Amino acid sequence: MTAASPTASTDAIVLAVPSKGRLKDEAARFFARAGLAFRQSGGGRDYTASIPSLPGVDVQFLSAAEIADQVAAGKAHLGVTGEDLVCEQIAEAESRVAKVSELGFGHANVVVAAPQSWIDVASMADIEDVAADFRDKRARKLRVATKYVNLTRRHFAAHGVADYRIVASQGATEGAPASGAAELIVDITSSGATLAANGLKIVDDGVILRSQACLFASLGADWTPRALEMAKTILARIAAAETAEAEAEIRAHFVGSQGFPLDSAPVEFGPLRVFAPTIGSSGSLTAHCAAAKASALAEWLIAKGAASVSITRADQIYLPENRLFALLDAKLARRDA
Amino acid sequence: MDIQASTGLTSLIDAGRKALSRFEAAGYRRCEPATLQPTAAFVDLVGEELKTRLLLTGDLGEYCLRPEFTIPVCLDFLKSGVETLPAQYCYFGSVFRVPPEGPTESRQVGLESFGRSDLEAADAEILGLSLEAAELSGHGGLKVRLGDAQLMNGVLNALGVPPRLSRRIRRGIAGGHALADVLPKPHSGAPDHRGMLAVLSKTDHAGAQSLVRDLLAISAIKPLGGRSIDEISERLLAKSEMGASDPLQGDALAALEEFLTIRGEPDACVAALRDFAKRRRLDVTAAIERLESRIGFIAARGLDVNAMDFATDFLRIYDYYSGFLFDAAAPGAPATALVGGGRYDSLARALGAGRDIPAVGAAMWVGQPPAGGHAK
Repeated sequence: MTAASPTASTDAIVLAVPSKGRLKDEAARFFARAGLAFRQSGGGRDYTASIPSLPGVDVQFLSAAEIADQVAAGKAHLGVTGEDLVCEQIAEAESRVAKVSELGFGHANVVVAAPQSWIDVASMADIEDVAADFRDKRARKLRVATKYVNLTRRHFAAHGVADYRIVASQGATEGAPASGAAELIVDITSSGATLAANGLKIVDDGVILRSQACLFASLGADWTPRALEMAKTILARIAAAETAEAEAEIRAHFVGSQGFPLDSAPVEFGPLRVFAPTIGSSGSLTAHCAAAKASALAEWLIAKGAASVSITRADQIYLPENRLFALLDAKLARRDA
Repeated sequence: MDIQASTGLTSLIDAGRKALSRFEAAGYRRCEPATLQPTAAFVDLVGEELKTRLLLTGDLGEYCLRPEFTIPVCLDFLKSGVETLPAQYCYFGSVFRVPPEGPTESRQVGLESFGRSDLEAADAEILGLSLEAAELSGHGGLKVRLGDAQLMNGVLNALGVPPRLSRRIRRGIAGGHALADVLPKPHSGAPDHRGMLAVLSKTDHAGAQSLVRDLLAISAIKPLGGRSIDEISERLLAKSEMGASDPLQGDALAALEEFLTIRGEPDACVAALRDFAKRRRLDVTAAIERLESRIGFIAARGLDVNAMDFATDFLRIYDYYSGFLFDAAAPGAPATALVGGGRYDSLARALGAGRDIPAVGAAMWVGQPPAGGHAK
């Protein structure tokens, strides 16, 4: 089921990551890309790991739901879990956890779904109306099956829907309307295929949350100076991987050039970081630019007389400012203020 | 428990007892509803959202610690048989809620009157006794706010607002929202069914039903969710009849907006309401007369009625409030009412009595009101 509870450790910082499934694999890949590959002890069966390139990190494999709780409770300094779970499980999440980064995997939406056969129902306003019908004509409330009790309450209240009852569901929620356990469901879906296969459709304004896996930092953990130092390093590496993901490195060679034209590059190429070109009758210059703009920039450089232009993707691009850590630092400062 | 805390508790119990003795002297019988109550009674009446505020127990959360007294007292009253009316009760004890800061136990003292047919006199008596009890327990000079749920209903009916929209408006205003935010917004981004709806509106129910049946058959959609094809087609038809038209617009909207601005000294409000009803040609005479009569009874108890504030937009979110509403707060702290009360003639029906029973009551916090806690 779940991992052993965190044991006393001499490590400075606890990083909680998902213990199974696609999320586990994606998270491991993500950290490896950031130069933070895990080494799982006990031949992969243990629920702990270390990071050989950064001693002092206690990596704990937990269920995604548990990670949300542990980070909120301050038992893990950092954790990777779904935004949906943090929004659902953590009361006043804003004051207890900081979303440091969206990781770009584990995409799924928490949605309100109604039977396809309810062709008169397209919006939350229709649901409000049908709910009133249930109350007036059947003397019972419309039932909503979900494990997202809090998200459901918030969304329904925001749309003025009051006449409903939540039926708590742990798994196979999409079967509730067919089995007669509920009329509507609120559930997580990535493609909507499971919903459709169960005769359900997403209500137009029924997307409660667009969720993905995120790196969360605990605002209540024991942030010792050493833990902060470790977090700074971890976040710098993650930021470097993220920057490398977003940017391409572009290198242009000029022969007998009358000067390098990058200063006059049109703004549509976005912000460029240009490295000092070698000075002389010929030379090269290197720049980082948004990956999506790299090809257009290369074409422009050729038109400006470059002899050759190459585009490469870096594994990591480090910058002096540590934007992810700055974010955490600011939140911790606000907490202490 | 340390000695200081227990001294605090003694003085709280003392204050509550003083209030209670005033109610008993006026003929209200002390009752002691159980601390554990069926969760369903509260959630059915108030809504799913209340669950976040209840202290639940039992394997499935089927019991809760009582969050207030009115529903438990009413349940006990109905269980005792309702042959002997009127029946008047008072109580003093703890209520349990979960405010954002965590669970709390607070003490309330209050009174409930069932079955009196002299409605306005009973309303005034509850207000008067509550204020006297508040003074006895050390809270004199409270600022009183008056409201009237029936008046709001009367105006919405006279304006021809459909019941569901009317309910949405009442709940929204009670929740402190502006009218504009409460009214349903025209739905955007939805597939536009107006063409089909226009065709449907020209056909009859039988035609619409067979169309829906055919549509579902063609698309091989299983009927799900406990609504029959008849129901679905009927609602589709109702939607088409209503068309894209906004149910509350122009004059009706302007009238409602004007109504919601009426507030101030009760006597002046009655005059303003008469003028409003006449100009707008709305038949709400009966409700205005009841309000006026109630104000008369309040004044007759020797209370300075024109030091009180009446507000048309003072409502409570719960559907069972059916008339008189009031709360009383220390001057300068209007957000945390110490006393709250009102009339809820339909509560007995909602709790299974099979009919409305005239009912009015009030509750008072003993000690400081919890943050954001409404006495009622």
